[in-house]
Amino acid sequence: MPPKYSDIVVIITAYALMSGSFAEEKVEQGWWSRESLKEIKVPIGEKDNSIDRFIVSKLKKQGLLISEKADRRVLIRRLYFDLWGMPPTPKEANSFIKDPDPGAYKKLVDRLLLSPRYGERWARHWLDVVHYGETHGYDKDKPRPNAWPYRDYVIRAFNEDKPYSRFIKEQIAGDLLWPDTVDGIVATGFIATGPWDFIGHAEVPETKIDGKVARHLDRDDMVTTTMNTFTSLTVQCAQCHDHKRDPVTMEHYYSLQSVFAALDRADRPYDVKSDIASERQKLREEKKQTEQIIAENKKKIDASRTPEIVSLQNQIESIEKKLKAAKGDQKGRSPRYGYHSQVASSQGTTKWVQIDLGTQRKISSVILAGADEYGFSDFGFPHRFRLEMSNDSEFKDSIIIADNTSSDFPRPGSKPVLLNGDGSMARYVRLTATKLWSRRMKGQPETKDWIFAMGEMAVISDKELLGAKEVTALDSIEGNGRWGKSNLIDGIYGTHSLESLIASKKSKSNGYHSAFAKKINTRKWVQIELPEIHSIDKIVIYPARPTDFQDTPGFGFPERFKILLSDREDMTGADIIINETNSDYVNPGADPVVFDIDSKGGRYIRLEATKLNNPKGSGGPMLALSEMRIFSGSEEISRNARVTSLDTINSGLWHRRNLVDGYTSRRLIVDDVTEGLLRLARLEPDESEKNLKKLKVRYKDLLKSSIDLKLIEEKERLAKSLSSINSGLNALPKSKMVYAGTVHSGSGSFKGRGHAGGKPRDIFVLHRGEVTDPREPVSPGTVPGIVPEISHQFNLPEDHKEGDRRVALAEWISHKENTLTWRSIVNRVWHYHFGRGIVDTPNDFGRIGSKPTHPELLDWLAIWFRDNGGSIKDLHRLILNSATYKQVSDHHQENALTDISNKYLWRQNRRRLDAESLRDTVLFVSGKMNFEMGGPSFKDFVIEKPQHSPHYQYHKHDPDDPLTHRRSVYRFIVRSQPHPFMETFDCADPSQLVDKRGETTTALQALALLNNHFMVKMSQRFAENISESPDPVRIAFEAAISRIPSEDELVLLRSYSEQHGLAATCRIIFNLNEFSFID
Amino acid sequence: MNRRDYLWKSGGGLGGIALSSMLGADKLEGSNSGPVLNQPHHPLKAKRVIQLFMGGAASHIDLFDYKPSLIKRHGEKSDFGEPVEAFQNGLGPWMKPVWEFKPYGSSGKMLGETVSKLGEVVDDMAFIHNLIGKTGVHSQATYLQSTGFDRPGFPGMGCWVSYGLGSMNDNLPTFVVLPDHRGFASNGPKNWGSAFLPAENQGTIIRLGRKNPIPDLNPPPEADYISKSAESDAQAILSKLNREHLGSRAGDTRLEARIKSYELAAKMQLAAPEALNISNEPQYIKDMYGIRPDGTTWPKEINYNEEANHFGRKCLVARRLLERGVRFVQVWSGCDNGFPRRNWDSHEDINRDHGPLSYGMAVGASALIKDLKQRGLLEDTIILWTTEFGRMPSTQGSKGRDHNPFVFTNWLSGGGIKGGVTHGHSDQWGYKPLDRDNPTEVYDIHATIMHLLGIDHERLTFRKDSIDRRLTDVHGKVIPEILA
Repeated sequence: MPPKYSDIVVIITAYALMSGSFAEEKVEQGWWSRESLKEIKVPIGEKDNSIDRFIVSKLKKQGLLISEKADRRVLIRRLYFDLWGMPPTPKEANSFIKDPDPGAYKKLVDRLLLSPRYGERWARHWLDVVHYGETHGYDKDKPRPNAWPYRDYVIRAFNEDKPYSRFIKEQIAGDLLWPDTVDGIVATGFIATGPWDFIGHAEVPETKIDGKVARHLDRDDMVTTTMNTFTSLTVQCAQCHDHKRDPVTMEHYYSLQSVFAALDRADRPYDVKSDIASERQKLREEKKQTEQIIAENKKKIDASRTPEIVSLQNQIESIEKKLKAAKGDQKGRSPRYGYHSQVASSQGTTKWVQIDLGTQRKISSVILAGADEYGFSDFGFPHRFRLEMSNDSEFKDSIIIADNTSSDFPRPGSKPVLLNGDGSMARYVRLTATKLWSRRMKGQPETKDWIFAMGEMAVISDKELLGAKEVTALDSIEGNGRWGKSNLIDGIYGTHSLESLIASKKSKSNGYHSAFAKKINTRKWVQIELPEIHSIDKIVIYPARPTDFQDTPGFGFPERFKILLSDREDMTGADIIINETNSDYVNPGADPVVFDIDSKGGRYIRLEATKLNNPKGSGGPMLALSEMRIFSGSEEISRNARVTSLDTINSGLWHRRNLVDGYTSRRLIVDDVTEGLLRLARLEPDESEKNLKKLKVRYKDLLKSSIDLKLIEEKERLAKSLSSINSGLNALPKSKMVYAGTVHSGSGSFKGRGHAGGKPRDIFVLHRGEVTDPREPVSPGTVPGIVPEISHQFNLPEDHKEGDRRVALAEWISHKENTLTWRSIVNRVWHYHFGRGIVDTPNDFGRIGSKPTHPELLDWLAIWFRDNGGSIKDLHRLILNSATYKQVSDHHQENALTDISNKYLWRQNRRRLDAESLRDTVLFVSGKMNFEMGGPSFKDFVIEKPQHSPHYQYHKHDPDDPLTHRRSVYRFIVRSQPHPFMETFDCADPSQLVDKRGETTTALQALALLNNHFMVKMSQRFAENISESPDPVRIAFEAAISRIPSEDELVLLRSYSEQHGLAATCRIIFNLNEFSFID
Repeated sequence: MNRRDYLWKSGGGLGGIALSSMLGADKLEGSNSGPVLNQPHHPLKAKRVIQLFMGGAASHIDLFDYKPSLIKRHGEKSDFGEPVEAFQNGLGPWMKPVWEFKPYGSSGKMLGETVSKLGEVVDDMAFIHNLIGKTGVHSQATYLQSTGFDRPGFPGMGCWVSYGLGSMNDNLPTFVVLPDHRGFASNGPKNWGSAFLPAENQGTIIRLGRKNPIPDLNPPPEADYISKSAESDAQAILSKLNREHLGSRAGDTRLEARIKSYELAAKMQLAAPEALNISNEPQYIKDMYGIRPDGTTWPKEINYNEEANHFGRKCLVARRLLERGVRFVQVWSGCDNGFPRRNWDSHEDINRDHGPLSYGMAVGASALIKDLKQRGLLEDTIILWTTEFGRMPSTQGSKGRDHNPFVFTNWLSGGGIKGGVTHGHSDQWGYKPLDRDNPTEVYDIHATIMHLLGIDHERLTFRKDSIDRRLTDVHGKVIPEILA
């Protein structure tokens, strides 16, 4: 029987507490927020407005009295700030006050809700909750230039009064539910609003522990943001509990992580116009279909090819691939460019970079690949250089491999340069540039910045690409991942991995896998039969790392084993050449294991495991290896040899023969890469291009004579239509970008799941939240019991798309019967109208959160809101037209005795201006406000040193810059360096989910209002704005305070103005308590 | 006290009156602002803290943690006895300390020559050589040491101290941050942000050397319309009109608090410049701190005297702030990771950056200890020297060292700390703790400091999103071995 929801809440709160300490609250039976929403009867009473009946009946019970209605002057100021975040103009205030229409207030509410100012104000509340920011946070706090479309979406959604369920669904899964709408795409900016560790993603791969931690934290933020925002359920701390008694709840938390497991935060394209979006969609569809037909056509053609045609075709394809690679395919461009020296002031400066091979190695050749930058593929390649090798890191005694120091070396372009070593032994290889290259962009004249750069330096010993221990250089620029010494040996040639350059295929096999055993101490063996007796010098074993299973480096690698060598297949009289049976062998993970053998002769090599590995998720203990290679000297003698074994599963990607197929579980083994590299370096593009033409002519002739002409014609026709589709796609206006939660396809360390076809990452319950300790795998789901009708396990079909998980979650959250969603949103709206929610912890409806002060009212509102189409504007109308809202905010001695904190709402709450309203009001009354809506954010700082860790210098901003005189909701929000002025006034911290803002009173606030350069400047502009009016002091007061000053006040301020000027007077007005507090 | 209580204590309804950073003894009647602890959990040994934070990660083995094995095995292939996942794979040969080590003081503590200035006060210092971090990522490591959590969203240690104990003055902030003059270290102001604690507990940045070391303290120079008399008349009018406004709005203590905040601001305008002005300090004091005359010009390259001058100025100002009742001062050395290096992240060349930075730090820190001692302030002021993590005993390049989050050093001095002791050891290489099962963690350092301040670190909490948060998460034990 599944656990009841009441049990779950207890578990969740218990988990939630584990990261801090237990909050001491008595655990009660049942909990209000998990009760299903049931029809509530409105209490009987005099008031028309149902809210008032709930409030008044509760007040009565407490012996409290509702306060009288505030006058119109107070009400209009209150309403303007509440709905717009700005004051009314004196004219607007006066006409409202004088309006004889008894319905004037109701009309005013409607008018304010119709204005775009309303959406700007209320979007800011939402952005607080979802912690919207426009930089990544953490170290290297880089900007997100495309975050703003989400902010505009939220403003639009409020202004258009988007039904709340649609608002929910768009933000979680709009890209799937409404893919051809702008809102559908940009709304998913929601998933990406939070902080993101640039270094942990862009500089550390997912395979490293630090990289795993970063990605785990990332998903945690997505889950937390979604659940706290929409359901006020704090699931986030169920990630680190170590209580084995209650595994269920950790499973729920991780099944929520699983919903987001395919996503990263990145820019994704979208179309502004829906017709273009659908046109693009249509063309993509056509393209897909055409490509399918082309594939079918190809199949038919292929079927009738003669062997000669096949061979020709292969040749042509291979040459074309290489040429394409040599020209540089921008798509696969790596962010790691290579080594880059510091800039020298003269071209003749000598610079060097060298590789330490760790030990002495035989050096047969060295390959240099140019760096790809600024349009050059030989960027920084020195005009003159020499290559030396030495056993001394200082190169006091060296052998010169290549000397090109007396005349300029021809520019190599994209072709790697092959330099032949003489086979001498050396530990260090040094490349010294003696005539430097001028740094510039392609097409630009030479500059005086003399540099030495190199994309890659590969040292080859016979057929082996040697690994390097480290790279040192005379000097180096280590900049933002692109340039760095270590990039000289990172396997990225220019900007491409070697693998992509020589177009070597990925592995299609995992390797060898024995049958499963019951116990780990079971003997298993696998054996290679060489064609004849050989002298064996080296055995290299590559651990398995299956691709059709969770990523498990070292999968099945034996815990204990020995290697036997014999002349006879049955191993009689075998030598034990390796013995690792006395203690457990450290699992090598992804690294090959090398055994150097001292020239022992034999024909049969058997690896015999005496203790088996039993990785998590495996069917039991077994022996698995991806590749085993036997060397005689430097020659591999085991490729495609016969393999036998005690037993095997020979299924799927596993087969005995895969033990010697030249592939690890992942890719071609390095020898072939070396060959490919040598081939590439020897390839003469010109010749091969000529050759290509000849081959093509011959190929076409042959085709005509042997294949059905109709098929050929069809092929040509299809090719044409594909190219027309492609040009149609290219002709469409460029897509815009939004920073969103999306399937990312990147290179380098930040790959995302695009390369895996968007397949979500496998998610496991992490024991104590440690990424190094994954336990049971989980499937996508959520917390049970909240929507009784829906299973908390999403039960998606096997072949579901990643987005189906998000659609399922969105459906669950927006479900009519969800006990949390509807209560959560009406409570948030209430919170902003009264300064305090019916539940005072808007993000937390759990046991540790507050209980509702008016549970029936909350439920009634939730149902009313839900059943009226989820219109937030209607909800505003309902609340704003209530007597409860319209009360004065005055103190009442007797009421205060019973309820000093005004929990029961016997008065309205006086509220202090939030940071944005304060800034907006100052701009507005100063006549400087620019009401331009939407688009990229304004930046009221100067950005310095953007390359590495940007410095956001607020004090260098010019407060008179009109570009920055927009509403505060359009301010560019930096996470690591908050705006000092706004922060002083408690603006939301975009690193936290802010369900309600702090409200502090500090001397720093007084200083900021008096002296901040923005305030000082705007006091002057305010004065200029009103100086022409007949009674500027009075007008200034009315504009800022929405009240006619008293005679005493006027006298005082006028005399001050005469003495110290109007600007100084305006500065006083900005500093009045009455300016900062709304009655 | 939880967040709700805190916010609703004031009769005015919304929001708490949170003035404590400026209020101190001058607490508002009727409000419940100020420290949350009415009295310490137990008798306190110290009242003030100075945290010296080395941004970029300072090398323990070149400065404080003497490793003869490295000298013996210098240049030999490094062998850690286990696979090591280094940040930038800097696993070259063993590399001996760049500086020669000698014994100092009656405790005979071995120090690298570059920090020999600390030898003069070494008998007042307690070293911890078995500190461990969590990751080798700068940002996370900086957060961990500054806030106790490896991600954003948590208050700095100074914020917790301010929150718990409140202020000891009525005209200066409680928690002051003196950043490196070149810029912020990793995470910038988030290291001292108040996060979920009331905002008045956040660190106030004072940028020495800038025209306006405290932003907005006075009107900017271009605001020529604000004359002295306009300013004082404005204060009078504000006070009058705000009091009238308050008169008709009884029961809302926030309004009174706001009036008070203007009076406090005015006091701060007088007190802060005086506190920051070191021109009247005697010459021998300036010399001791390595301070050179204003207007001294410096070479472009990072150099010894300039580092001493800047760090010394921060230390001297820190002392002056403490004397005037500031409770917590954080002094930073090293800014973010730009090039050329101006922080402790010496991947390329320890000597080049660590040399000047450590020399400057040692001059300032030893002067600070001596100066506090001669004024009788050392006995109730804790000094904590910390950094992000340590550096590897193997080389990176030929002269640099990679990150070592597996072990590093902290030292403490002053109020309640036993001098001349070393607690916890690293292994023979300075690679991991000698006793791997019993390392020291930042939580223990934080717990110990809180303990000396009279605070039980497990009992100073703040409820946020259902969790009673504290500085030490769910960890932390006081380290008795370094208590006097």
